[in-house]
Amino acid sequence: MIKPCLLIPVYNHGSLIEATWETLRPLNLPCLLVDDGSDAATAHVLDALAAREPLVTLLRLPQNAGKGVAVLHGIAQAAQSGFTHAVQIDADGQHDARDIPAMLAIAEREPQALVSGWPQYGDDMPSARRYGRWVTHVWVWIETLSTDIKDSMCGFRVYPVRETHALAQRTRIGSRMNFDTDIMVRLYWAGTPVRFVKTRVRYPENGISHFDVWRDNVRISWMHTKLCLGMLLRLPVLLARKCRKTPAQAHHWSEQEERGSYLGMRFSIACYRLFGRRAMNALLVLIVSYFFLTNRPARQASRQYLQRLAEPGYEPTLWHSFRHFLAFGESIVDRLAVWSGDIQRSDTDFRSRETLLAQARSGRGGILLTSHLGAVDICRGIADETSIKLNVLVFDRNARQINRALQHANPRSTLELIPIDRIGPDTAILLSEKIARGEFVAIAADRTSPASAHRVSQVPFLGFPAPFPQGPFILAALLECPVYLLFALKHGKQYRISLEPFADILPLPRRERAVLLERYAARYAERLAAHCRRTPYQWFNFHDVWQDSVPDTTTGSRTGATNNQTGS
Amino acid sequence: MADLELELKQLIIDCLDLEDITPDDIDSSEPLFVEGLGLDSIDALELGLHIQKQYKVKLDANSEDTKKHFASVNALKAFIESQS
Repeated sequence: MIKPCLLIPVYNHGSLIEATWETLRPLNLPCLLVDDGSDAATAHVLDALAAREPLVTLLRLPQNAGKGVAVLHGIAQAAQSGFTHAVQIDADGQHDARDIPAMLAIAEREPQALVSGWPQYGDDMPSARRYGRWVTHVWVWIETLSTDIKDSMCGFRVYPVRETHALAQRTRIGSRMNFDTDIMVRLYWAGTPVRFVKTRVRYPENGISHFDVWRDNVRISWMHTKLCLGMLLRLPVLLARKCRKTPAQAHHWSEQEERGSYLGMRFSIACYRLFGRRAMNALLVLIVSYFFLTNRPARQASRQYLQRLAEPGYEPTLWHSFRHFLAFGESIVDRLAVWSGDIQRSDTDFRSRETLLAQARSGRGGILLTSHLGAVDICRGIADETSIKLNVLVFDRNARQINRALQHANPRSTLELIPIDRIGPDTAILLSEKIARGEFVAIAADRTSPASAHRVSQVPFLGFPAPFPQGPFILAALLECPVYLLFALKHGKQYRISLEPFADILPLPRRERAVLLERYAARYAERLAAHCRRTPYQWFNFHDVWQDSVPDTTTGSRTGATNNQTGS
Repeated sequence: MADLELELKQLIIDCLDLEDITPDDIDSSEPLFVEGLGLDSIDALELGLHIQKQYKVKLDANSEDTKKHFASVNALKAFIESQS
C-alpha cells in the first residue's frame, strides 16, 4: 500500500496557487508546499493557505535556489514524514490534476517506478518550444541508449521517495530548468523503471515562465554534455540492461532488427532534414565514440588494416583508428545527404563523366566493380544527373528495407538495389537484358559472401594474402561487356568519382579459369591498395579482411579442392 | 517432348561442368538450387545466361515470380515450351 503526498514547488505564483489548490483539494492528499524564496506577496498567500488548509504543510527556503533544490527539499521532508511517493505538480495550473489517480494507480502496481505525465499539447504551444522539446528527446534517447523515455521535461510526475532521496544524497542534480530531465535520466540509469501517463498540458494565459533564455540554455547544454559523458561511463550497465530481453521479445529479435534498421534510416534521414549537416556532425562524434568504445573487433580490424598500410617502422596508434572510425561516421552523414537528395554538383568531381556517357551511348552498358573504399553511394548523384540507370548488387539482407527507405526519400530514383542472396538464373537473364539496353550493373568485389565461401581467390592485398570473391569477375565475364573500376573518394570536402577501364571484355575460358580469376582479383586488389594508400581512412571494411585466423592454404588447393569447375 | 527434358539435363551438366553426374542422376521434379542438385548463385548466373543464349528466352522484368521458371527441370521445360 503506497502512501502518497503532493509536492508543489512555488516561486512567485502567488495569484495562481489558490486556483491550483482548488483542483487538488478533492484528492484529499497531504500536500507539501515548498516556497522557493518567493516575494513577499506570494509568501503572504502561501502563509494564509497553509493556515487555512489542514492538509497543507508549508516549507520555506530562505532564498531562491531553483526548482530542483525545492523539489529535493520536499522529497527529503516526504521521506522523513514516511511518505512513499511524492506527486510533483506545477503551481501555475498547467497540469491536469484529474490525471493524478491514474498515475497513482501505476505507482501502486509498480512502487519502485517513476510515473511521469506524457504531455499531449494543445495548439497553444509556441512552436519554438515544440522544436526545443524534440532536440531534448533526441539527446535523452542517446543518453539512455533507448527510447524508453518518451518525455523528460514534464514537471508532473510521481516520484518513488526512497529511490529519489537516495539518488539526491549521492549525486548533484541540476537545480534549475535542467532539473526535470537530469533527475529522470539519472533515475533511469539507477535502474528505476519510467512509466508514462498521457496528460494534457496547457499554457495558461497568466502562466509565469521562469525560463531564462540565455542562462537556462547554457545550463541545459552543460547538463546534456554531462549526461552524455555519464552515458559513456555507464555503457556496460546500459547495454547489459538492453540485452535482458524477455523471451517473447527475444524470439522476434531478427524481425525487430530489420524493422529497426528501416525505422532507424527513416529517422536519420528525418533528423538530417530537420537539423541539418552541422548538428548531425556534432551527434556523429558522440555516436562514433560510442561504437569505438564498444566495438572491439572493429577496433582491432582497423588497427590491423592501418598497420599493414603503414610504412615500415611507423606504428599506428589508437588515435589513428579513431580517425578511421570518424571518417566512416562522416561517410554515413554524406550518404544521408545523398539519400535526402541534398548533394550539390559542386560536392562531387566526376572526372570520368565522358567515359561513362560514351559507354552508355554505345548502346551497351557495363559492369562497375566497386569496393568499400570510399562512399560509392555518392554515385547515386551521377545516376540521377546523367539519367543513367544503375543496378547495384548488394549483400545486404536488408536491401528491401533500404529500397523502401530510398523510395520514400526520393521517389524518382533511377537506382535499383538487387539483393545478392536472392540471385537466380532469372537475375542473370534480367541483368544481361539491362546491359543490352545500356544500363550499368555495379557490384562490390572486396567482400566474400558467406554463402559461397569456397568461391574465392587468395591474392596479395597490402602485402598479405586475402580472400577476394570470384563472383563479380565471373559475372563480368558472363555478361560479356566492358568492365570498369569505380571509386568515389573524398578529397578534402569533395568527392572525386573516377572510372578506371579494367577490361573491354573479361575472357574466361574454362581451361584457364582458376588462373585467370586469380589474375583478375590480383589486379583489382592492387588498384584497391593503391587507392587505400592515398585515402587510408576511407577503408570501410571493419572486419578482418585477411582472415588470418583461417589457416592460409595456398591458392591452388583452396580453389581447386572445392571448385569443381576448375578441373577440366 | 522427353527430348527437351534430356537436352536440358545435359545442358546443365555441360554448362556447369558437373563431372560425376549423368542425366539419369537429375530428378526432373527436384529443386535445382540449394537443395536437390545443390547449385549456388554463381551456377545460377551461368545457367541463366546459357539458357538465354541457347533458347532465346525472354523474361517479364516486372514479374515478381521469374524465379519459379528455374526451380526444376520440369519448370524450366514448361517455361521454354511456353516461349516458342
